[in-house]
Amino acid sequence: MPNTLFTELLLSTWQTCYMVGVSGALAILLGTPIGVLLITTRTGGILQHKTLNATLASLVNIGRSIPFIILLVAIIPFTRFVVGTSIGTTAAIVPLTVGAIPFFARIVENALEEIPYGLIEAGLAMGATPYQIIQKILLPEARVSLVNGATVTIITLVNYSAMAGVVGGGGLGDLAIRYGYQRFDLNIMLTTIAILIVLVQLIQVLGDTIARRLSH
Amino acid sequence: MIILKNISKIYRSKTQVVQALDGVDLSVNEGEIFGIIGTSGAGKSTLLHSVNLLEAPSHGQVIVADQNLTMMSKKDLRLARHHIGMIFQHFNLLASKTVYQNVALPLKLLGKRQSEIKSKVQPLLEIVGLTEKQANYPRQLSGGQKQRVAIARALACDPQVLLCDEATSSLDPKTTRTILELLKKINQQLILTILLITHELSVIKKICDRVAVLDQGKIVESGDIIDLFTKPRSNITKQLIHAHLRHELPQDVMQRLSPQAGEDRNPVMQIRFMGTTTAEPINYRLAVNMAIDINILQANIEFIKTEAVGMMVIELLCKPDKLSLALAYFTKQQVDVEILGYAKHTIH
Repeated sequence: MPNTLFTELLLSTWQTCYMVGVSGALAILLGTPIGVLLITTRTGGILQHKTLNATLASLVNIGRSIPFIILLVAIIPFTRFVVGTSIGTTAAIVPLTVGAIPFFARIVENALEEIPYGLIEAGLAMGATPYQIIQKILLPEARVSLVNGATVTIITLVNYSAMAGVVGGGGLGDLAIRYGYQRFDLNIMLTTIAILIVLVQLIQVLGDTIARRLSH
Repeated sequence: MIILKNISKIYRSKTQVVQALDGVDLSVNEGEIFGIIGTSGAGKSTLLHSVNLLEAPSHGQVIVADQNLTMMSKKDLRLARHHIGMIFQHFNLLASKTVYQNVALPLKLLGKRQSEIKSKVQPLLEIVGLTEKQANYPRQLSGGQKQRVAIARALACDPQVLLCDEATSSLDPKTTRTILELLKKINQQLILTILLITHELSVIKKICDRVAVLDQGKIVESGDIIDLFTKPRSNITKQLIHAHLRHELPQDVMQRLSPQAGEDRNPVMQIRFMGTTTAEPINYRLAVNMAIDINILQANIEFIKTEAVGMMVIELLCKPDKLSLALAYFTKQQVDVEILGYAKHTIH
């Protein structure tokens, strides 16, 4: 394997980690409040608000129904508005984040749904504000499912990031397409696959370890 | 300490309207343990939840510690709730937090400093006897221990009132007893007013000073606990007392018992009297003066709080025509009598 290819592999691995890391962090940061609102604004929830709930739910559904490769190009104007360019690794982070937010929001919603109503009732009886119930009861009680959900989201992002090549984002997926597919270089193809497998394994093991630490 | 004025609660859904509470008036004195009993679906839970407005009543007023909760803003209501403790049937502890952290939670919500929280939580853990378990998680505790944690948590903000929502209903009889004893202890030590709901008469009997019987959203009877046991007025109260008693009636008597009178059946009745000494002369005189033989099926002294109430189930070995004679005699002697049914003759 020539030296330049090796540096390309390193670069692509870094690009994938960078894209997945930043978009994953942003999706968790922005998806969590949306997920919390999805559950708390429901009828009978602590922040009951029918209109907001219906609006958020349909936005999330729209986000979830657009195939990622289409989302990638469809929001190019938005991407340009946010990061100043529509091409490159940083530019790929925008659609990755936009795609992962509704995904994670639903995961948060499902995780919080599992919490027995009695705990919310206990919080209300103690005089907790809705924000305190979210912060001190809902999120801590759901933390194991939230960590597991974050793991799933990040691994999904590794998957999505393979398409980042479409907007010149680079990454391992792009490398595999360019060398492995277009130039029939089986070695590169297999190497990228191996790196991706290791990457996903690492993320999963890390997620599981954190989840185990948090469960009592 | 707790005054409920004309509380009604109506649930409306698209298909039906359910009146869960219908003009309930209730007044609980300071330092009292007040019980509300009723069968499931009577509205007990709705009533208890309206005291801290977890369920806002459709009509009526709730006054706790001289504050009218129904007139309050959301913010003031939250502040007031800090001083109304509540415990639940399923404990409702946070699984992700230790015993200590669970008890500390209400104080944290108020933004208290760590040192202050610690000085508050430690004595509470001592009261409920869980100092050694403070670093454990709820998962590692028994049901009784969980309820102790919940009690400590409910006491964290020095409440004047404690609401108990079927607090012993998922516990075994022995644990129930220890939890009730604990409630009695904190009631006396902290001069804490306790309002509890239950479907178990044994709970009421053990610790309540006064009791109200709730049926179909209305209070059908209320008053002193001993009066309730010795002079039940409403049918539902009688049913509850029977249900409580039936558990203890021997199987063979149960099998012989039927609601209809008949030539081949003897009346079976429960007689109730205060104290422990009056039963024997009554039975003796009945036998001698009226020439009615008595078969004592069951006799026991129920301890209601600290008072002893004699209860006896007797079978009168007589024809139905002599029954009125016996009943007249009991009335004259001011003994409460209730006919439980008529039992088929046994072959002697």
